[in-house]
Parts: sequence; C-alpha cells; structure tokens
Amino acid sequence: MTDTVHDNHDPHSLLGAYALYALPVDEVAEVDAYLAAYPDVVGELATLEEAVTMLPYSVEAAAPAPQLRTRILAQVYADLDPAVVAPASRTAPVSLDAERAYRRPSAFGRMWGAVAAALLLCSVGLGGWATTLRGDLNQRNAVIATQQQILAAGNASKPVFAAAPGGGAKGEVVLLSSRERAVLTISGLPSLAAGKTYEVWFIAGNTPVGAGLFSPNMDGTWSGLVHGDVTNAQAIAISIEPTGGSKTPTGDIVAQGTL
Amino acid sequence: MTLRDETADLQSDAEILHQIVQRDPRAMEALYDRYGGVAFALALRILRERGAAEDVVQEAFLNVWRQGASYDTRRGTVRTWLLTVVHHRAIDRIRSQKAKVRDDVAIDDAPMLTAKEDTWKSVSETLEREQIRTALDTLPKEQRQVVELAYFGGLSHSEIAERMGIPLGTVKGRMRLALDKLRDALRVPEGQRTGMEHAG
Repeated sequence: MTDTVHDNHDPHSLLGAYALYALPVDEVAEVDAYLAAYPDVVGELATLEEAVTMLPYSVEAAAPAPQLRTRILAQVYADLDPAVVAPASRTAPVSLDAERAYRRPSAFGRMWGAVAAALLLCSVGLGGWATTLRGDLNQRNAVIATQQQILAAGNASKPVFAAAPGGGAKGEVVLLSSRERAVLTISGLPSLAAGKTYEVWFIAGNTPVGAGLFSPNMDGTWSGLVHGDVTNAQAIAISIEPTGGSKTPTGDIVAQGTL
Repeated sequence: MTLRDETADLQSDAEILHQIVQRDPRAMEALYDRYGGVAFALALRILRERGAAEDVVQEAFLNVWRQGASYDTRRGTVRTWLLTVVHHRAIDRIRSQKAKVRDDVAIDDAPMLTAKEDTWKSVSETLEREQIRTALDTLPKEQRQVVELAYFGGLSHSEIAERMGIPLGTVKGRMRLALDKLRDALRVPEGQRTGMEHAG
C-alpha cells in the first residue's frame, strides 16, 4: 500500500513493534543494530517490554494439565547428573541410606500387602497400561522385568489416586529411566494438622520403603523428586506421618498408585 | 500481593534466576508455580489449542532452565524473559502455520484486552488488578486493536496496516503510544517496580 511505501524507517520508531514482536526479520536486525549503537535506548526498550509482559495477565485464566508440571520437572531433573541432583521437596527427603535401613519386614507388612493387592485389582480397570500388573504378587518377577523394560524405554508416567472413596487426591508419578528416582505431582491433598507431614513410600512386595517427606502447598498441591528403589517397587503410596517421618507407615494412606 | 509491595517478590524472582544459573532444579519448581498458569493462559490465547499451548510452555520453561547461565539480567526479570519466550514461540508457531489471524474474525470482533470479567477473577488473589484494568481501559480502541493483532494475533506492523487500511506509520505510532500509556499507568515509585505476581 502506498502509505507503507512512503513510511520512513527510523529505527527508533520501530521500538514499539519490536517490543510486541511485530517486526519482520530484516527490521529486527535493523533495531538490533540500532540498540548496539545506542545502548542508552536499551533501557527505553526495557520499559516497553515491561508493559508488554503485562498483557498476558489480561487473558482469560486457563489451567494447564497437572501433567505439564511433571513433564517439565522430570526433564529438568533428567538434565542433571544424578550425582549432583538436589533434593526437590520443600522438606528434606529421606536419604537413600536411611530408606534402605527401613526396608525390612514389619508388623505393617500385611497391611501393605493388602494395599498392593488392592492396587493390582484397581489396575485391572485402568486400561492397557495395567496389563503387566495383572495377577497377584506372585508375579513379582514378571512385573519387575516389565518395569525394567519400561525404565529402559524412557520416563514412564503412572497415575496416582485417592486411597479412599471420596478422597480428592490425584496425580501422577514419572519414573526416571535408569535411576532410583521419580517425580511425583499430586493435587487435592488435605491440609495437615500441626506436627504432621506427608511421607511417600515405594512398596516392594510387602515392604514399604520411605521415599521422602513433603508438605503440600496451600492449595493442596505438591510436586518434587522422590527417592527410592523404583525398579523393585510395585506401588507408591502416600501416608500422613508425624513430623520427621516414620520408619514404617503409621498413619492414613491418602493416595496410592501402581507402578 | 500488589504492585506496591513487590520488593520481596522482586527479590524472590532474582533468587529464582540465581538458582537457575546455579542449576538448582528447585528453582524451576518455584518458577513454574509462580508463572506456569499465566504462561499457559498466554499460549492458549494465541494458539487456541491446549496441546500446542502446553508444548510451547514446556519448551519455554526448559529454554529458561537450559539457557539460564547465559541470561543477561539487565534485559529484565525472569518473568519478562519467560513470558517473552512463551509469546515468541507461540507466535512463531502460528506464523509457520500461516494462520496468523483467523480470517473469520473481523477486527471489530477481536476480543478487547479488558473484555471479560473472568480475566480479572483469575488474578484477583495476587494482582492489583484494578490498576492494570484501568490502564488497559485508558487505551483508545484503535490502540488496543493494534496491540491485540500484534501480540495475540502475530501480525506484523505492515500486515496490521494493510488489514486495517491505515498507514504503517500510524500503526507504529499506535503501538508505541499504547505501550507508553501502559507503562506510565503501571509505573510505581522507583525501587518498587517490576515483577508481576503469580497468576496461576
């Protein structure tokens, strides 16, 4: 159009469009060169960009799927050398050594056996991903072999459900391949009474193994890294425990899932 | 949290960025919890498809995580950086798909920035929303249109000029005026300005 042909190309006049990402490549380069030549203009541009970044707050709110958080964090942790991974939970997770010390048969063994059996029954109705888990705990070796295949194939995501009817907890756990770690994302957790914490357990056979403590956010959500021997676990569970955690689960189970 | 008591928030954002530079993954949890919602809402507004929007948000967060060590903090806060990456990647997608603006949406039908009350409900807990709303309301319709078509529609200034049948210089002027007005309206005393609080 005629008006555009006769428009001048003063780079300074392009700052607004530059801040709005509304310039073609050649004019972006023109502005970049201008900014390099006149550094004082960078501050002026920054104020325009600051105004631009107000615009996202004007759009209608929309919540991403909870799995997005898990996917991002799983990739973040996967980027790190396992030797330098920092604990992700807002409270100190149980160390792997401490977890291993917990791994012994206990008076709660039968309870966890029941949990694991219930999880297996639950898994039957959850579609194809549960196929390898059908049966009972006597198929443990087959399950482990399948899990190892899953882990070898990459990060595997598993759903986590409320343990009791009417419970609001739900989320997922992503198993990081070739590592004794997983990223848990969960929402709908009840608020905790004073002196209480949530504790994550990986269940291998009838043995629950502590995988870390956490306190949820105000909105009942939490996501972070949990440590544990994922390879040998058939299930994950989350219970309410006294602050500092327990050697074996003592409180109510609020969420669980098969691995 | 309001724009006036953001000093703590600014420090927190700076700490998050510092932690990202130090490769502390907990910083990414904090960053996502603070800005994941608004980042997704922005991407969804541009792309109109949840899967594509989530892909863009994931790419943007991982970009911040992986490029954090090389980020020049003089260019702005981590919020500005993140939302800019989200915006640019979303716009690049629609440009590459040659679907910059849906042809069945007339300019006059394009949603105004302040059109929906729900917009503001979403941030009522954390923003001094009336301040921003008022700022947006001060923009003349023609200025909001060019901002809308550029920022959310992905049109270039020349495409907007052609679409609206106005000179390119007018488009540039409207863009600049709109941003200046927003900046001035949202400006708070020196030392307290910057970071927006979480919206999602």
